[in-house]
Formats: sequence, C-alpha cells, structure tokens
Amino acid sequence: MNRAYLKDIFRTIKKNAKRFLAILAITALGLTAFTGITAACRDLYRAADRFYDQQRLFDVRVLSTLGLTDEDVEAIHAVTGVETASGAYSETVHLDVNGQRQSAEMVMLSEQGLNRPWIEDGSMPEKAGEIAVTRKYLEASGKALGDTLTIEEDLNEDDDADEDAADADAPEGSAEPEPEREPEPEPDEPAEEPDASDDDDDGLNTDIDWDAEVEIEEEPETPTFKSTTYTITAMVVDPLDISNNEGTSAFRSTATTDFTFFVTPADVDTEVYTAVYLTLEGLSGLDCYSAAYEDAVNTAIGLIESNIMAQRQQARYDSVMGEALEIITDAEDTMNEKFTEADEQFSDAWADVEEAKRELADGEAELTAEERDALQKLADARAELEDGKAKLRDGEAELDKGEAKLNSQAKAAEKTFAEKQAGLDTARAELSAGVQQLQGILGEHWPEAEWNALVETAAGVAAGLLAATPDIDSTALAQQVGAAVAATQQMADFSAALGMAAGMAGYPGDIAELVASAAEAGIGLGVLDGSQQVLDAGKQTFNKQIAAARKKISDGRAEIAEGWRSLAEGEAELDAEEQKALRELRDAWQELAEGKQELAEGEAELIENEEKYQEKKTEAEEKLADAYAELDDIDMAQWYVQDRGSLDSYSSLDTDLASIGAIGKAFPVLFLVVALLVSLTTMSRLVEEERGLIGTYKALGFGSFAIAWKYLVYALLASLLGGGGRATCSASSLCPSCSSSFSRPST
Amino acid sequence: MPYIEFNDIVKEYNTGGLAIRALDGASFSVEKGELAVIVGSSGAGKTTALNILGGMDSATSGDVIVDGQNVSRYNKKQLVNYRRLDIGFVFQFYNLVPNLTALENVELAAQIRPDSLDAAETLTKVGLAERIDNFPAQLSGGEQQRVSIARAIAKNPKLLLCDEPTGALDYTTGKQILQLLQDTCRRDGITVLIITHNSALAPMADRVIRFKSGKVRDITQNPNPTPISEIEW
Ligand SMILES: Nc1ncnc2c1ncn2[C@@H]1O[C@H](COP(=O)(O)OP(=O)(O)OP(=O)(O)O)[C@@H](O)[C@H]1O
Ligand SMILES: [Mg+2]
Repeated sequence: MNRAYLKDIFRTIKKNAKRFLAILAITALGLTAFTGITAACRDLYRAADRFYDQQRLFDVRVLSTLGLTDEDVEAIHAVTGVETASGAYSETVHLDVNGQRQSAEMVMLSEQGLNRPWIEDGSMPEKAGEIAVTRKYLEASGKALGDTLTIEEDLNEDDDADEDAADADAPEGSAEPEPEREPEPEPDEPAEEPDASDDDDDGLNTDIDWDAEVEIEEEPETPTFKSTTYTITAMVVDPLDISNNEGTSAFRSTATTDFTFFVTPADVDTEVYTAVYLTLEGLSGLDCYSAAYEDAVNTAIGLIESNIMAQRQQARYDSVMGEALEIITDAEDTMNEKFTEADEQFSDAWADVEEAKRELADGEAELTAEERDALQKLADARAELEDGKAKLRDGEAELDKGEAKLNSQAKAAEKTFAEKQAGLDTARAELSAGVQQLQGILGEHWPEAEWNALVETAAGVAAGLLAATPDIDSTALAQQVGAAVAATQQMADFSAALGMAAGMAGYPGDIAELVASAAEAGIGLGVLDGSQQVLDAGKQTFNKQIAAARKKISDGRAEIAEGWRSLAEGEAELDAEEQKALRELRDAWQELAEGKQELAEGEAELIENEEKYQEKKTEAEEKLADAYAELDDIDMAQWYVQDRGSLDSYSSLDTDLASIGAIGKAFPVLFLVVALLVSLTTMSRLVEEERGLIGTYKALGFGSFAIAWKYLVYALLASLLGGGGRATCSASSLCPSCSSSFSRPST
Repeated sequence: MPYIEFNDIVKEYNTGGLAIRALDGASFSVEKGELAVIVGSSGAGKTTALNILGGMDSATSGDVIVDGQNVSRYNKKQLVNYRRLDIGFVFQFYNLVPNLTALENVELAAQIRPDSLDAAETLTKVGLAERIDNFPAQLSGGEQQRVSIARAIAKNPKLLLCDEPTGALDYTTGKQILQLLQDTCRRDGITVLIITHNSALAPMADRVIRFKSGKVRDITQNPNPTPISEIEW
C-alpha cells in the first residue's frame, strides 16, 4: 500500500481522535458489562455448590406414582455407583397458625443424613416429639425454640392426596388406590310396601323388591405421624427449597405448602416411602452445575432406569393392584347376585303381564262374538214383529174393502127392494080399487071365502114360482106344476062361486065378464101377495146375509185388534229384552276396559319400576366401572428418577443465573448496536466531509476499494482497540470483586 | 490518426426527470505533444469534456480515442488504470491532500504507479525544492498549484488535463504556472489540455478549441505558438 496514503489515514485518525475514541469507548463498555456479569454468575454457582455439598443434598432421587418400599430402597442401593440410598417420607399436615388453618410439609429426617437442613439456630431433633421448623413458621406463629406446636390428626388425607398428585414431582402419601366412595342414600325405599293395588282379577304384581347398591370397602386409615404435639428444637433452612426462606438468594418461589417441618424417623410410621434419595460415589469433587457432574448423574439415572426400574415398578404395581382388585371383585360379585335376583323378578312380572294381556284379548274376542249374536237375535225378533204388523195391516185393509163392498151391496139391494115394493104397492092399490068396486057391486054376495082362498092360492103359486125361479129343479118344478093345477082349480071354484053370487045378486049385466075380471083380480092380488111374500122373504134373507157378513167383519176386526195387542205385548217384551242385553254387553265391555286399564297401569308401573331399577343398575355398574377405571388409573407404577434439576430452588437458581448470564450476553449486543450507530454516523460524517478528497484520490487513479479502505481501517481499528483492550484487562481485574456475593445463604 | 480523438460525444445528465445535454455531439482531436487550449462561455461543456477525456466520467454516446485506445469502452478497472497511468489532473483549486506535505502529496501520486518520476526532483523542477516539507495550508495559491502540477507530472502521464489552472491566481503567478505547463509540454513532450476563460492565452497554444453550448464551434491551429512570456493581458 501506498505509504503516503497510509500516512494520510493515520493523520486523519489523529485529526478525528474524538470520534475514534467514542467508538472505542462504547465497544469497551459493552464488553465490560459482559465480563462483569459472567464472572458474577460463575461465583454464585460455586457458592451454591459448596452449600449443597455441605448439606449432603441428594444427587438423584426416585419418586414413584405408587410409592416406594424397603425392597425398592435395597434394589436402588445395589445399583453400581450408588453411595447412599435413603427412603424418605413427607406428608402434608395442617395446623393452626394464629387462628388460621395452614398447611405444612412434614418431612422425615434421613437416617443416612441426606438433605440435612441447614441450622440457623438450635439443634436438630434427636428423638420422637422433637421438630425443626423454618424461620417462616417462627415468624408467622410468633413462637420460639422450646415451644410446642400441634398438628391436626389427619386420618383421611384425600383432599391433600389430590393436591399432591397434581404436584408431579412429589407423588407422596400412601400409594393405595382410592376407589372408596361414600355409600349413597338408598334409591326410593323398596320398603315402601308392594301394595295390592290390583286386587281384582289376576293380581298382577309389578312391585319388585330389588336392591342395586354396591359398596366398595376401604381399609381403615391409620395416622402416619405418631404424635401430634412436638417441641421445636431448631430453626432451619430446607436444602431442597432454599428459595422458600426469606433472606436467600433466589428470585422466585413456587412453594405449594406454607411451611416445612422436620421430624425424626421415630415419629413416622409408614411402610411406603414417598421418595428415595441417593448420593453417588465420587461426585464430591465436582461442581454440581458442571457438565461432568451432570454426566455422572445421568449415568447413574440411566443405570437405575435400565437395570431395576421396570421390575420394581411391576412388583409394586402388582401388589397394589392385587389389593385393590380384590376389593372391587368382591363388590362386583355381590352386585351381580343382586342383579340376577332382580332380573328374575322382573322377567316373572313381565310373564304375568303377557299372560294377563293374552287373557284380556281372549275375553275381548269372546265378548265381541257374543255381542254380535245378541244383536242378531234382537234384529231377527224385531223383523218378525214388523212382519206381523204388516200382516195385520193387510187384514185390516181387506176387511175395510169387504165392508165397503157390503155397504154398497146393501144399498143397491135396498134400492131394488124399495122399487119392487113401490111397484107392488101400486099394483095392489089398482087391484084393491078394482076389487072394492066389485065388492061394492056384489055387496053381500061377495064370496069372501073363495076370494081369500083364491088370493091365497095365487099368492102361493106366485111365491112358489118366484122363489123357484133362481134354481129350477125338477122337484120344485113338479111342486109348482102341482100348485098351478091347484090354483086353476081354485080359480074355477071362485068363478063358479062368483057366478052363483052374481046370479043370486041378480046381477043383470054380463056376469061372465064380471066373473072373469073378479077372478083375474083375485089371482092378481094373490100374485101380488105372493110376490110380496117372496120380496119380504128375499129381503129377510138378504138382511140376514148382510148381518152375517157384518158379523164376520166385526169378528175379523176383533181378531186384528187381538193381533195388535199381542204384537204390542211382543214388542214391549223385545224392548225389555234388548235393553237388558245391551246393558249386559255394556257392563261386559266396561269390565274389559277396566281390565285393560288396570293392565296398562300395572305395566306402566312395572316399566317405571324397571327403569328405576335399570337406572340404579347402571349407576351401580358405572360405580363399578369407575372403580375399575380407577384401577386402570392406577396405571403402571411410574418411577421418576430425577436429578437435582427437579428441585425448584435448585433449577430456579440455575435459570435465574442463566437469565443474568443472558442479560450479560444481551448487554454487549445492545452496546454493539449503539456502537454501530455511533460509528455509522461518525463514518458517514467523515466521508461526507472528505468528498472532495475522495474525488482527488479518484482522479489520481485510486480504485474504489483503496479509497474505502481508509474509512474501514478507521472504524475497525476503533472497535477492535476498544473491544480487545477491554477484554484483556477485564478478565483479571473484575472477578474478585464480585466473588463474595454468595458465600452463605443467609446469616 | 490523431493522438486524441473526441468523436461526436453526447453527454446527458438526468436530474430529476429533466435531461440536460452538457455535450451535444462535440468532436475534436489533438495531436501528440500539442498544447491545446479549450475556451468557451460558462456552461458550454468544457469541464464535462475534460472529465470524459480523463476517465472520470463516461459519455452517453460517442467514442474517445486516446493513443489508439477506445477509452469510452473501458470497464471500471481499466478506467482506474487509465487514470493511474495515463492522466494527470490539475484543478483550479489545487485539490491537495491537506494531511500530507508537498512532498508526500507528490509521492502519493508517484507511488501509485511504476516508472514514476522522483517526487523531490519533480518538486525541484517546479521550483519548490525548499518547500517540500510544508503542508498545503502553509503554501500560497501559486505554490500549491505548482505542487499540484508536480503531483500530476510525477506520474509521467500521457495527458495533462488542466481545468482553469490559473483561475484562482493573480496575473504573475498565473503566468508562471502557464509557463510551467508550456515547458512541461515542450520539454517532456506531454500532451497538455488547458481550459481557460482567458482568450488572450490562445496564441500560446498549438491548437485552440472553442466550445459553445455543448458543441465544438471551431478549432484553430497555430503553427507558431507564442511563448507565454510574450503574451500580455
Ligand atoms: N453533474 C452534473 N449534473 C447535471 N448537470 C451538469 C453536471 N455537470 C455539468 N452539468 C451541466 O452541464 C453543462 C456543462 O457544464 P460544464 O461544467 O462542462 O461547463 P463549463 O464549460 O466547464 O463551464 P465553466 O466555464 O463555467 O466551468 C452545464 O449546463 C452544467 O449545468
Ligand atoms: Mg468548468
């Protein structure tokens, strides 16, 4: 490089020394922050390590979801590299602190001296009934060393158990499964008397005396801690939780209980440990936050996990599971028995219901048939009645017709008779007048007797003739001929009589004529009389006939009336019969409906009862299933083999220091950004100022990079000098100044 | 074939959408060893032409031929090299590096290329043997311009391009500077181009190039240039 050019560069730096120093200073500052904080962190780590070594904090701990036993402790101790294995027990207890119920973690001190609390004051508990507490408790309760404290006797630790289970890294307490539940109140008491509500027919019994209660027995709890009253002998710091004690170094606390107490193993009665704490061989020289320590711990964890964990888990699981399973299986057997019994009762009841249904159906069919028959019979009877009525009505009509005909015949006959009578009467009057004349003429010579005989004979012949007219038979004709011969005789007798009478009377005139006409008149009168006789007889006969016909008609009417009466009687009887039949049917139907209703009610009741039963059954089954599910929940015993990182206060110290370390790294970045901005403005100002000069260099034939080089050298030199210079001097000067900040947790 | 050929050069500046044509088809040529004077009114494009010729700027179109090479086709690296080896610039305000002494200023140029002249010797040549360790701020304008010229010729360039070298100097000093330039041309055979506003200087040139609004209006050749000492203005 051009010597003169270099000269220019250095003279430029010299001239712009203030800017150069500004860049240099800001870089140096960033590095100071970085180195200072880093060194402080390292010292804090060392102090923590010393403390943990001194208190013999565990290197590895084993937790199990089902707790750990002495066999587990032995098995763990036998693993290569394990120096000490110590079964530990802790449990949450409650106590009254100044009127408030608060919780405390009651920790059994390790027989092997692990996790030794750090004594602030007093001396560690040595025998039963002694207790060490934290400063926090003494301050909260106002008590002092030598005072006593009393914890609640806590038999049922369910509420705590849940809490503890949530605290994943400390599954403690008795590791028994907990399928225990309060026996629930009885379902609607079966004692409520299966009443005889359906007492009528088949006595359907739908009230079944079932019982679906399941009880899963639990074992009685015994208190883990022998005494409840302790004497405070020491004020200590829990090495597992150095952050939960005022005056210590960590920034955060995640304590779940209010206080921590320590008692001797003599006070603790347990077969199950909540944890096993171990120390490993050959770790005392290692820094506990170092990678070497972590490697050694991880190797041990790996050994435990691969060599014994699975088989110990299985063993523990088997024993816990066996106990729990037995309890539940017993309960299930009892339950199944109860169910079988109840199920049988229900199926019997259902059979009864089916039987009743069938009977009802049969009854209904029968009743329907009966009803059909009865109605048919009634209908037939009624039809018959109607027939009778129709016949009567026909007879009545015929009678009416006959009567009308009779009346018209009678009327016509009377008229004929009257006409004939009139003719007869006229003829008689004429003849009588003629006869009277003759009588007058003859006077006392009138042959009265012959006359009367003549008339009488003529009348007889005429009557005989007239009467015989309608039916001429030979006998009658012969009689009539005889009569007529007699009449002719008579007439001759009369004429003779008359002629003699006329001669006697001296009747001048033509006597023959007179006699002829008188005879004629006599015969005429006799015929008239005969006709009258016949007419009267005819009249009489006719009247007799009419009367007979009328009698017949009235007889018919009487008969019909009789018929009506008997029909009415029959109808009334039928009505009564019908009413009776219908009433009977209605009653039968009603009865059937009642039977059905009853059955339906019985069935509904049965269904309801069965539903209730099913509900309870389901409940019971669920309860069992829950219990089984809880068994499933027991899962496999799960071991958690943890290093110290599982301790909140241990890992939070680590993370807190890491955070500080991160700040130590972030700081220089911040400064670097500032330095970047400072040098950027500085350099752009410089370039701006030297624009003319840059042109000159360009004109002289300097390349762009050669020209830029000048400014790069300027900037790089400033920052490297600042950063590098700071780094070399800080390493030695800063460290001792902050190393004393974490020598002891609290004094 | 002329030594320098400026062939139909167009140079446009684009400033905020407005295109300014600083050169609008300017053409001229100069022969080797000539002293050419470029005159023209302010804004005519003289400086632009000189910058293009010196490889500080590139033309929009047209060719610049120097010693048979087409400079306008050079890439960046070639241009740097061209400026380094072939060109010496002399500016109106000297443009010395203020942090360096007269000698160092000259060395700055001399050390940038091989075959350069000795810096101290060159300064002696321009009459500044006693002032070589002075910083520019300690020198007068004329002295600074001498240092500037020494810096330019120390590179032993093919072309010496001077943009108003006497613009900031008084008459006598200006004359001395011009004398120095004429001597350089005559004695060292370097082709010299001088931009000046002073038309009276035209007779000292072998060739006078007149610019007017981006174009070369006219070129006059002067077979017998007048020595500078005889020119009065
Ligand atoms: N970088 C630039 N950007 C824009 N325009 C420019 C630039 N350089 C020069 N110009 C313009 O180009 C034209 C020519 O400028 P130039 O400097 O060549 O003139 P000149 O002849 O040297 O004048 P003067 O005698 O005053 O120095 C001017 O109008 C100027 O404004
Ligand atoms: Mg100009």
